Order: sequence, then C-alpha cells, then structure tokens
Amino acid sequence: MSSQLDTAKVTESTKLLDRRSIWERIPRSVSLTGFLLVVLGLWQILATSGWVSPFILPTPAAAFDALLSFCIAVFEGGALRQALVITVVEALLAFVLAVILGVGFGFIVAESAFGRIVLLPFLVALNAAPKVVFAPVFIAALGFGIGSKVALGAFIAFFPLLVDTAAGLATTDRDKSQLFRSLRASRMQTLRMLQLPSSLPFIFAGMKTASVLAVVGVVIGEFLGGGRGLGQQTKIAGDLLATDRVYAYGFVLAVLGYLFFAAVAFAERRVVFWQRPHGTTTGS
Amino acid sequence: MDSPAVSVEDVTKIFNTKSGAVVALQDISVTLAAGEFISLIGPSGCGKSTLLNIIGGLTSATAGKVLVHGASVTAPPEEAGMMFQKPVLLEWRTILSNVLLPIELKSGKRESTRHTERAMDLLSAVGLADFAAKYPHELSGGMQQRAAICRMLISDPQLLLLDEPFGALDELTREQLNLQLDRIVEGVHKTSILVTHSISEGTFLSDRVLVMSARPGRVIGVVDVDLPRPRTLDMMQTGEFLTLTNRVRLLLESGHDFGDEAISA
Ligand SMILES: Nc1ncnc2c1ncn2[C@@H]1O[C@H](COP(=O)(O)OP(=O)(O)OP(=O)(O)O)[C@@H](O)[C@H]1O
Ligand SMILES: [Mg+2]
Repeated sequence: MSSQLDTAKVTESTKLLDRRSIWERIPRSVSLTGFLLVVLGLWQILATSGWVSPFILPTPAAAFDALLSFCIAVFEGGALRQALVITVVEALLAFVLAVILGVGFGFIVAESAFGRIVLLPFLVALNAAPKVVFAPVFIAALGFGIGSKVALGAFIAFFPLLVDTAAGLATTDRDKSQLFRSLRASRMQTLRMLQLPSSLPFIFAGMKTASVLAVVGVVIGEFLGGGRGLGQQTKIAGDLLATDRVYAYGFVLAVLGYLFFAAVAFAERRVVFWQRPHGTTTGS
Repeated sequence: MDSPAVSVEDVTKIFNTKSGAVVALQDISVTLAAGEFISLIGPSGCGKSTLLNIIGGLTSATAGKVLVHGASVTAPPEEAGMMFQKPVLLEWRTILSNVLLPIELKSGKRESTRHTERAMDLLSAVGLADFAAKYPHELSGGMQQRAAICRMLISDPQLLLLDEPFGALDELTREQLNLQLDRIVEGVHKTSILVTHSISEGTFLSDRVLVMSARPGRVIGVVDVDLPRPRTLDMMQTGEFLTLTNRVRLLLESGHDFGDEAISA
C-alpha cells in the first residue's frame, strides 16, 4: 500500500520529465493480467451474445473446463497422456533432426564451393515450396507412425537454421580472421576455434525459430497423417465439433511450443554469455 | 647474423578497385637491423597498414619483395607477432586463454597449458594478473589492448609489427603503455615496426622515424632518433626531443596532400 503511494508521489513529482508511456510506467504484472481479463471478458460477451455459434466460439468457462479435464486425464494416464507424450517426443526428435540438418547444410553451404554454387540454389527452391505438399510423400515413405511427423517437422524447421548458420559462418569478423591468418592457423582450426564460436549467436537465433516450427510441423503432420498424438486428438475433437476441446488442446500445444522456445533461449544465455552486455566489442 | 632482420626491396602495391587502380605504395625500400625499432608515420591512407601487412605476409606485393631474416615472405612468417589497432580478443575465451591462443594454434592445447606460467608473468608485467580468469567484455579498452600485447609476446616473436596499437586510447594510458612496450622491447632486443599517427609516440619509441607521403605512398624522409635507451618520459621535455619531433612534423607537412576535397568540402 505505502509503496504504491510512494510510487504515486514520485510519478506526480516527475510528471513533467517522465516521457515514458503509461504501459512503461505501470507494473508489467498488472498490465498483463489486466489485458488478459479484458480479452476473456470480450470473449465471454461474444460467446454468450448469440452472434457467434458455440461451435466456433465456446465460452471461456467451457474451454477452461476442457483444459482442466485434459490436465486431469494426463495426470491419471491413459490415451490423452500418451497423446501428449507422443507429440512431445515427435517435436523433440524433429527439433534435433532439424538442428543436425540445418547446422550441417549451413556448414556445407557456407564452407564449400560445391555447397555455395551447386547445393544452395536447390535448397532455396525447396524452401520456396509450401512444405506441406511433401507431407503425403513422408507418409507414403514412413507410414502413419511418428516417423512421418518427425520428418515433416524437421523438414519445416531446418531451413531457417540453415540460413542462420550459413550467415553466421560467413560474417566472421575481418579483424579476427586476420589475426588467425597472422597466427598461421589451419583451416580446421579457424573453423573450430573462430568461425563456429562466432556464429553461435546466429545458430541460436535459428534454433529458436526451429524450436517453434518443429512443434508446428509435427502437429501439421498429425493433422494430415493421423497417428495418436495430441494434434490428431485436436483434429478428432474438431471433427466432432467439440470446439471447447480444440481450444484447450490448441492452448496446450502453444504452451509446448513456448516451452521449447524458452528452453533454447535459456541455453543461449548460458552458451553465448558474452553477448549480454552489448557493444563492448562491436564499437560503433 | 649479417643479413638484416627485415628488408623491403622496391615494394609497390596496386589495388585494383571498381573505380580503377589505386597505387597504395610505390617503390618502398627499407632495411631493419636486428633489434632496431622504426616507426612509420604519414597521412591517413598513405599505405602504412598495407606495408605492414605485406611484411606480415597477410597481403602480397604487386612488385618487389620482402625478406624476413633472409627468407622471402609469402605467408605470415613464424617469427613475426602482429598487433592491430583493435585488441581483437575472442569474447568466448578468458583473458588467459586469449593470451595462450598463439601457442594453442601452433602446438596444441596440451602444450599451451604448459605456457600458463609464462602467460601469467606477461599479464603481471602489464598489471593484468588479477584479470586472467575474466572475459574480454569485463575489461576496459586499454586493458584489452594490454592483453593483446601479452598475446603477441607469448610466442616470443623476433619481429613485432604494430599497427597503431594504442591509437584508440587516451593520452595518459597511451604513454604508460608506450613505456611498458619500450621496456619489453628493450629487454629482449626485438625488431619492431610501429605504425602511428602520433609524432611524439613514434619519436619516443624509435631508432628511426620514416615519414611517408600521401598517395602514392612513398618514404619521403627519415629522422634518426639517437636518444639514449631506455627512454624515459622526461626525455620528451628536452630540447633535443623537440627538435626531432619538429623535423618529423616538417617532413610530414611537406608530404601531406591536404587535398582539394578538404578545401572544397
Ligand atoms: N583491400 C583493398 N582494396 C582496395 N584498396 C585498398 C585496400 N586496402 C587498402 N586500400 C587502399 O590503399 C590505400 C592505403 O591504405 P592503408 O590502409 O594502407 O592506409 P593507412 O596508411 O594504413 O591509413 P590509416 O592511417 O588511415 O590507417 C588507401 O587508399 C586504401 O583506400
Ligand atoms: Mg592503417
């Protein structure tokens, strides 16, 4: 209470100087909760108004109920827990595969004449294609099990990582390259001790994109190729017009993608520790 | 022993750029005896860095040749240690392992750990003993540059090529580092070439100051500095020092193309 009063006083006395917008001044916890409440309120109004069919928009309470029963079901075990585990495993495998493919091809494209001249145009053309069209190919080749989902997830997720890896390797600081040359470093040494560490910030940026795309990719795979994952459960719920469950599962999948992203971001802060205080080495 | 430490013979460097050929250096000839310290001073863009890079084997000459200890330079010579205008430390390595980098590249990780004690001695000599385990971003610019001196010296190079190593530092730090450099070089009799924009820095550290003209870069004059060694900061106050710096200044002005651009701008 008193601290809020103090804040109010300070705000008052510095009003003329304080050019920050209102969103920068109020505590983030307050603004985020407030915004969430507004959205939920609008949702509730819209869902109960009769303007929108409940098959399109269930009430927040119904969606929350579905989420709660999903959580209980997962806790108790059974088909839904298995579905969640399957999708998590698929997404993890897809992510790992995407990292191997993305970093690997990134290296080839950046470091070899063959990669740069021959491989790159094909990869770019491949990337320009809507990747979902390859889903039937993966299903035909790998069946309706998790293999085809992992393949599609990895396929969708690896390209941004390839681009970032190649860009990172190609933009190694000129001064540092010159230092390595003056120290008579071999090509392998330069790659391992200079280019690879220099490109880690880029690789992590690519991994963050890939982490989210891997989840998206396997869910698309499940929508198109069946199986027993949570994406498939969502699709079944949709087919049954059980929209409350669609919203609940969609939320769970969003949380999953976010957790993947957060895990990579956490690892990034650990590994690329020197990036935090900006501008010490880049100068102007 | 008889052959000079460095001999630059009629070196010309032409850069082919989109807007035509740029003659960066024209018929440069310089000879350094072992243990000699010279400075290159001249207007910006006159080819000082280019000359240093040619001697260091990082750039090839268009014509002429460079010999280091009698051997023609085609790649960075083993006996050369270079220092650049920026510290160029690897952010992901501690200061100690940055200093050990040249050994690690040359002889492997195992051998480099055997040089830890020597690296620590060097770091102590420049007042960085307490910072060995820190990372570059935790050090100031001047401290980073001192770490770079240690890195250059760890492999005990016989030839030091210094491209404006202290150019980005404030006057006082610069004097301190120059003094430290003078002590280091004096103690072990290393042959050194220093590129600098500072007349007093060049004069203070050198046996000879070579003054270069604006493009095409040529050596237009040499000032011999026969002040006793080791040099002290007091010497910079003497009339003798002043006379020498004035000679350098006059040469510099005579070769300086102040440029139509500067006037019309
Ligand atoms: N790689 C290059 N390609 C084309 N021209 C170059 C290249 N490197 C240098 N030059 C040109 O050669 C000339 C000499 O450059 P250099 O960097 O050696 O000058 P400098 O004397 O070191 O200048 P400063 O004191 O500003 O560092 C300049 O005109 C520059 O534009
Ligand atoms: Mg230069």
